[in-house]
Formats: sequence, C-alpha cells, structure tokens
Amino acid sequence: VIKLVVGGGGRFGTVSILVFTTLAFFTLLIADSSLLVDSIVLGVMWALVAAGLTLVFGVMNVANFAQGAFFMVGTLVAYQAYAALSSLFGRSGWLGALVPIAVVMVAAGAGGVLGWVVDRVLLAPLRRYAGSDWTMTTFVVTVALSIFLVNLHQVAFGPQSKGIVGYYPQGAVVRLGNLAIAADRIFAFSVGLTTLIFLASLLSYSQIGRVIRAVADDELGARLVGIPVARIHTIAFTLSGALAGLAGGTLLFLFPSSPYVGQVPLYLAWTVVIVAGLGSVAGTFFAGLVIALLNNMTTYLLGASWTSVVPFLLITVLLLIKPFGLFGRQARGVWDS
Amino acid sequence: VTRSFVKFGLAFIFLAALPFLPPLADRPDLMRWIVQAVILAQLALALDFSAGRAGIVNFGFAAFAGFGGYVSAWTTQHLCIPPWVAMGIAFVGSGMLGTIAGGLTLRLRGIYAAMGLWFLGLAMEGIAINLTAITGGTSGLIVPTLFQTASSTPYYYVGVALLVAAYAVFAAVAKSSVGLALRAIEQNLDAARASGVSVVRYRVLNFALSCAFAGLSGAFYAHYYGVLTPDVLNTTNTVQVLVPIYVGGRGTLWGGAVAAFPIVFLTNWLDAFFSDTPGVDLIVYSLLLMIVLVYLPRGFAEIVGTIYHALKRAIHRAPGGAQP
Repeated sequence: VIKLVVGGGGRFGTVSILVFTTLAFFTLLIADSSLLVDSIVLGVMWALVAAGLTLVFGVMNVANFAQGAFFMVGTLVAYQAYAALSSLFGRSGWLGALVPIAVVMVAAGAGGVLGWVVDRVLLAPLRRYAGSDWTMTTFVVTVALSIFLVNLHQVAFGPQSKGIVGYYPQGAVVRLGNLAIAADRIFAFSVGLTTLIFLASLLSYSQIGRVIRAVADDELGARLVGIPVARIHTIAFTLSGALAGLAGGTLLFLFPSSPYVGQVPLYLAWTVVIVAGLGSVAGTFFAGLVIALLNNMTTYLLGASWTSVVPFLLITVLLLIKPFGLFGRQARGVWDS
Repeated sequence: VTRSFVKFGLAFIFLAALPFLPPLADRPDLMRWIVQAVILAQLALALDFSAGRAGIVNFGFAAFAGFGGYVSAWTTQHLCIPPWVAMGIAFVGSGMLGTIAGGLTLRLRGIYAAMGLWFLGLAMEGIAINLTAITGGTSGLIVPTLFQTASSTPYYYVGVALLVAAYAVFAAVAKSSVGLALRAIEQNLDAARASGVSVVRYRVLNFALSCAFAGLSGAFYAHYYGVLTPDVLNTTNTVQVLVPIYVGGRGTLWGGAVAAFPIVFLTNWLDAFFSDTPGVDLIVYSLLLMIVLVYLPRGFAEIVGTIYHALKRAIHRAPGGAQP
C-alpha cells in the first residue's frame, strides 16, 4: 500500500532525523556553518525535484530521465522572465521585490506546461500499445526528450552560463548567533518548504489528491470505480514538471542556466528517490537534506570530482540492502510490471 | 540447407569486398565511419542480449565497455604484452566484473536493477576520473594501436570478425536450453521462478556474457582510436547504444546491429551538415528517436519483417514463382 503523504509512521521519522542531525553536527564540527545552510537549501530543492519523480513513478510507472531537463527549462525561463520583468518593474522598491516571486511562478508554470505537452504528445500515445515494456520504453523516450531539450537550449540560446547577479534583493541578512544567512538562501528555503507542505496537503486532503493516490495504489481498481485514469496521469506529469521548473527557477542564483545545468539535479534527485523510497513527501524531504549534505561534505573533504563516486557507491550499497529505500514500503507490484 | 549456405556465402563475400567497393575504396573518412558503425553494432548486440533477451536494461553499459578498454590499455602498457592478448584479458576481466556486479544487483527487479547498474556506472566513471595514477585522469591514456597503419581497412576486418563471433555465441546461447530459460524469465519472471528456473543464476550468466563482449568491444575501440578518456564511460554512450536497439527492434539481436550502420551514417552526416551550429544534429536525432519509439514501438525490424513476408507471399503466388 502506498501512502504518498505520511509514510512509514514513527520509524522513518526518527531514523531520518537522527541521520540528518548526526551529519549536520559532523558538518558543523569540521566545516563551517555556511555549508550546512547551503545543504539545507539545496536539500529542499532536491526534495522538490524528487517529489515530482516519485509522483510520476508511483502514478504512471515512468522513470523520468527528463526531469533534469525540466529543471533546466525552469532556470532558462526564469532567466528570460527576470530580464523582461525587471526592465518592466525595476529592481528596487516593493514591485522589484515581488519580481523574483513572479519569476519563480512563471518558471513553475512553464515546467507544468511542458509536462502537459510531453504527456499528451509522447506518453499518452505510447500508453495505448505499451505492454510489459512500458517502464523501459518510457525511460528511453524521456532520455531522448532530455537530449532534445538540452540541445534546443544550446542551439537557441548558446552554451554559455546565463546567471543573474543580484537575483534576489541583496543586503537583507538574518543573523542567528554568529551564523549569517543571506536573503537568497532564506527565499529559496521558504519557497521550497511552502511548496512541499502545499504538495503534501494537496495529496492528503484534497479530492484530486485522493484520486491521485487511488490511481497510484491500484490503477485497475481506480478505473473500475470510474476515475479517468488518463487524465490523472496527465495531471501527475504536469505537476511533476511544475515542481522541477519551480526548483530550477528558485535556484537560478546558485545554478546559472546552461544546457547541462539539469544533470546534477537529475542524478541527485534520483538518489533522493532511492533513499526515500516510494513513500512520502516527508520522507523525500529528509532524504533530500541527507543527500545534499552528503554531497557537499564530499566536495568539502575530497574535492568536487569525488561527488560522482562517494554518493553513488553508497546509494548502490543501499539499494542492495534495502531495494525499496530507507523509508519506503513494499511497493513492488506497482513499480514492476 | 543449401539456400542458407548460399545466403551466408553471399553475406560473407559482401562483407569481405565492402572496403573495395567504389565509394569506400578511396574515401578513408567513410571507412572510419564504417568501423565506428561496426563497434556500435558490437555494443548494440551485447546490450540487446541482456536488455532484449533477459530484461536487464544495463544503464551503466558504457562503463562496463570502458572498463574493458582500460584493462586492455593498462595491460598493454604496463605488462608489455601485445594488444591481441590484452583484448582477451579485457574480455575475461569485464566478464568477471559483470559477474560480480550482476551477482549484486540482479537480485533486484526491472527498474531497480537498471538503477543500481546506472549508479554503479556513474561511480565507475568517477573512479576513472579520479584514479589518475592508473587511468591518466580526464586527459586519458594513449593506447598502442592494433596495426601500424593509418588505414581503417584491417580494423574493419577485425571488427567484423568480432561482431560475427559475438553473434554466433549469442545465437548459440539463445538456441540452447539456457536461452529457453532466459526467454521464460524475460516474459514472466514469477512464472519462470515458479517453474523451477533459477532466475538469478541465469540472469547473472546472461549479464556476465554481455559484459564480457562489451569489454572486448571497448578494448577494440581503445586499440583503434589510440586514446581512452573517462568520457567513454559516460551515460551518454549507453544511450547511444540503446538507440539502435530500440530502433532496430528490441530482442531481435540482429536488429540493433543492423540499425547501427544507418544510425552512425545519419549522425555523422547530420554532424557534418550542421557543423557550424553544433547541437542541431542531436535535435534532429532525438526527434527521430522519439518518433520511432512512440509511433513505431517495435522498431524498423517490424517493418522489414512485414515487407519481407509480403514479398515472400507475392513470389509464391506469382505464376512460375519459387516453390514453397
């Protein structure tokens, strides 16, 4: 039984909080606090991207490789929208302060529209004659989609990095003891956390959330009670694209838009999915924090080139011991054809 | 028997004479494309043997092929043995790595096994980048080539020989009782297990064989191009091998190997055609791939099969045609 919202009950909560606190303490001990702050901000964002992956994986059995490309589209749209909006409203004053919020929303909208188009044009026609090959075929389709989007970016906007200096109003800094947190971190964290809470409550309390969970639980049963399954698939994929677009738009200040900007978020979000299992938004949140911290600590201690070794080896080991993730439930029937 | 003998004979003569045919005889660049296509065909064959015949989609495939390349390159350089022997060592080494990796990950099912192998491949690429003492890091290794000539023709013959050998082994395995067990596993894992098929053992056997031939192709690649960089292990290369398989028809073995040739020519031609705007070639390529996957899900093998059977029927029906 899949519960998309509050998964494994007490056990997963204590385990993940324990792991995270230990790692956080370790970080503070040997590195500095800004690394911890950055890890928390990134962790929330990877959780957003990963929540989209889990949603699509749980509801329609698609292992989406193009989620990183959706992230990239989010950064690109945010970059273009920022240029347009800031020239319209200026960069100072209360209108200027609202610009980043509008930009993030535009990026999320663009991701959602893209997700909708992809589901209608690629996945829905494929679903008609997909048999046992569905998961693998859709994976290769999303790989092709990702190559397409990445190179479209490269051809249309060039391979250079497109970042914005002073994306968020500068200067505003929150102090906690001797820990200074820049405004951009706070903004990104609040956007991410708000979205995660919104997503969790949408899935657990709203009518559409109940329907989505019903399809994830038992597609045939949902079809029998008259749920329009194809429409739910479209909604799930749209939502997933919007989450990736939103993460991309929010993180533009750390990840300047470029064709390949989505690669690292894609890999990390998949590791988050593996760690969290197909369980809950809350599990994804903590797994995101743990992965981001692990990644940043690897960079800090061993150098950036090792980030592709240490986390992935750990994840492989984890996958061998607990194939359904640390917090996941037995969900084989849904995942495997 | 005679008819298939004639068919094989004609195919053999065609393959042997190919480098001397008019457009290729005086175009070394085209000959390089042909060798590139032969390597891709070998890789597609090896990957399709596990993806199409046992349902193991190895997302870290390029890393296993690249591992073979590194084994061969390192042994030729440090143990002073001829590249031919080193390629054999790469074959065995990759097979052993495949046995270990498969033994660990193939207890998992479908997409989980694919994910596990993918992360393993990513980690292997990271190790190749970081173990500078052995792999030369990002700048890579200079590898002794098989022949002391600039011509690609001798490489073509070696590559085709390896391709035919791999096909013979895979076809023999597929025809044997092992192949029957693999087909059962591919179609319904639970039913196969319930009928007493040792699922994990057959999957690991299949996977190790696939990895061994991948490593052999990787070694051939290294000794052909003369350089080996960690990029070879990248996921992009796995995707490049997946494409001919899905276009040619998954599980057919020959489909992927045949599709490799038009695909290499198409990508190289697109690349040359759009050389002043890099990226357009990949846009066209990925678009074609999506169209084929979504609207021709069984690949071109299905179309070829339909045409072939239609022709056969037409010939049989025609007055004075061949006897059935």
